[in-house]
Amino acid sequence: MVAVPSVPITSLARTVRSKNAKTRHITLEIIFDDRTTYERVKATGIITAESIAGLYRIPRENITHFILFDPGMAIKITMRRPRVSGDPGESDVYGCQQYAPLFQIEIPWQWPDGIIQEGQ
Amino acid sequence: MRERLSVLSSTGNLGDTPIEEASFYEGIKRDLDYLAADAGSSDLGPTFLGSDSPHNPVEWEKHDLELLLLASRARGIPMVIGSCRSTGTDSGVDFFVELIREIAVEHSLGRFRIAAIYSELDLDILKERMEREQTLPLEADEPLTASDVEATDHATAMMGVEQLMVALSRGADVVLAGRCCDDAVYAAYPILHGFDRGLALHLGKAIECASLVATPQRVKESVLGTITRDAFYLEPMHPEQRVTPHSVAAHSMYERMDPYTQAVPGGILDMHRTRYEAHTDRIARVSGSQFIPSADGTYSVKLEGAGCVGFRVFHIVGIRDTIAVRHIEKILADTRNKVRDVFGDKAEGKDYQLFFHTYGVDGVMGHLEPVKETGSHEVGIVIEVVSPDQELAISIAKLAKFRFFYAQYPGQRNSSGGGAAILTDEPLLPKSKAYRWTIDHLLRLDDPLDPEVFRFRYLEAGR
Repeated sequence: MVAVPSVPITSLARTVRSKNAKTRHITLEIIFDDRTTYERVKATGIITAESIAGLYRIPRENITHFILFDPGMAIKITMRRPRVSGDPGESDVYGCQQYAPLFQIEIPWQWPDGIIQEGQ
Repeated sequence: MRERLSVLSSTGNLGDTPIEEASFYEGIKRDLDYLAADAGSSDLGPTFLGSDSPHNPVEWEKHDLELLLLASRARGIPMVIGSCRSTGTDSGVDFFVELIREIAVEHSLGRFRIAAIYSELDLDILKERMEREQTLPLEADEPLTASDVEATDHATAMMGVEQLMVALSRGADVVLAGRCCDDAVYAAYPILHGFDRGLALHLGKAIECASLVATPQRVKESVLGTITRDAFYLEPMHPEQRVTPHSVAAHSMYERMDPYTQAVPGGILDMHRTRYEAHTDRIARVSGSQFIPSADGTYSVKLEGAGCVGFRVFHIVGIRDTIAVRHIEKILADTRNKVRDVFGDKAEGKDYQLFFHTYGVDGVMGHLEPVKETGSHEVGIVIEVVSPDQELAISIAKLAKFRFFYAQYPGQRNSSGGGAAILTDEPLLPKSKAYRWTIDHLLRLDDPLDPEVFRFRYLEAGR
């Protein structure tokens, strides 16, 4: 069997970001530029609440929302913050640097023949 | 009845960075019906509410208010500002009232009417009410307790469209609101004029960060929002930006947990049936969003509170010795143990809290950091100590700092100091207090205009 090649999520998504959702949650967003890519990534089933929990090494129940937001072509995951924003000892008051582990996501992907994609 | 109303949004956070003027002046050439801006956010953390102090330089707040006020007076259209001076406390509202009056004098503006809406809560009243009727935890884990209120220095209630509509209907030209929902700032005027509440709220949600709803990303550029009977339209005023169905949809989920529903006082904004379409290649059309009143007819407002937890001091240490970096976990544990030894009569967690923000290891993500082994050749440690006793906090930070210089670890080669300091003890000098969020709850009101929660003051300005 020939292994299906895979590509990092950063080659497929336009935006990968995180931000506070109020003071006690952080919301992660993976946003795509075109519907075909979004639908294909969605169909692989690689990105799930469970796989995100695994990536961050947190219990599944800390993920409060996992939403495939079709109008925005986005996968949106919201998790409880380990510390409330701005509490003593807290280190990312805006919650905007918590997405980096998402870069490790690899999606099984075969580019159409002859098309060289940017960012590979 | 009007068939359409237009608003210009020029900043997502009035005063935190000045409004870009070129696209603002482009925008005010249009046929505008009102102006609005949100000045607040819980994103700032608890310090500014807890200490009731400004977050932004006053020059920038005045700059933005001046642009808006001059345009509003020149055209004779109302302007609505929510969450004055970031936190929407009473002193924040008063501060903006004074800025507006000052600008009016400086520009010899004709007479106009200001409505100030206060929404800071008297903590004794809050305690009484909390005993009479239970608050619901919103983001907090439990209903509000007396000790939460005692730990609070300042608390506000977040108003919706109802309070703003009262001020507008009483002829206010400039509405300066205390803590306020960001969407309400834009939605109140169209709802007052009979436009659909769901569409108006979604317009507010979509436009409240100004050019962040457009692509490519730019900040503080103006965006024109137009609401009609069955849709709203967004058009960027910066020539290089576009608002696309995708950019609006993507922004509709920004900083929120659920992109389909948004709780507002009195109900929810339901975006399950929302349609995002291209009107032109740079104007998006949005329709189908609905307001659904709460099933039991209740009206609840969010309460926000913050309080002081003690004094906070920082120290900063860098380690470049790669052998020490390899043993950083051991060095951190040893430093903490030394503090516990020396301050044996103090209880960590109660008398003081000690944190190491270890940049190069897990300084940004802390507990969420999945990478356990650092690949860095240096690490930076920000020592943070919080204590009700300022002298104790300073002593602990000094001890921790020096312990890094005397660190012992396997393979050690240095004997002259295991860390680099930025200056000596100057980082300890800016003495500041630490705050935390204490209240994040819902309070049910029988009347949206409950005078214990929302107070109105009308005053004249100009000449």
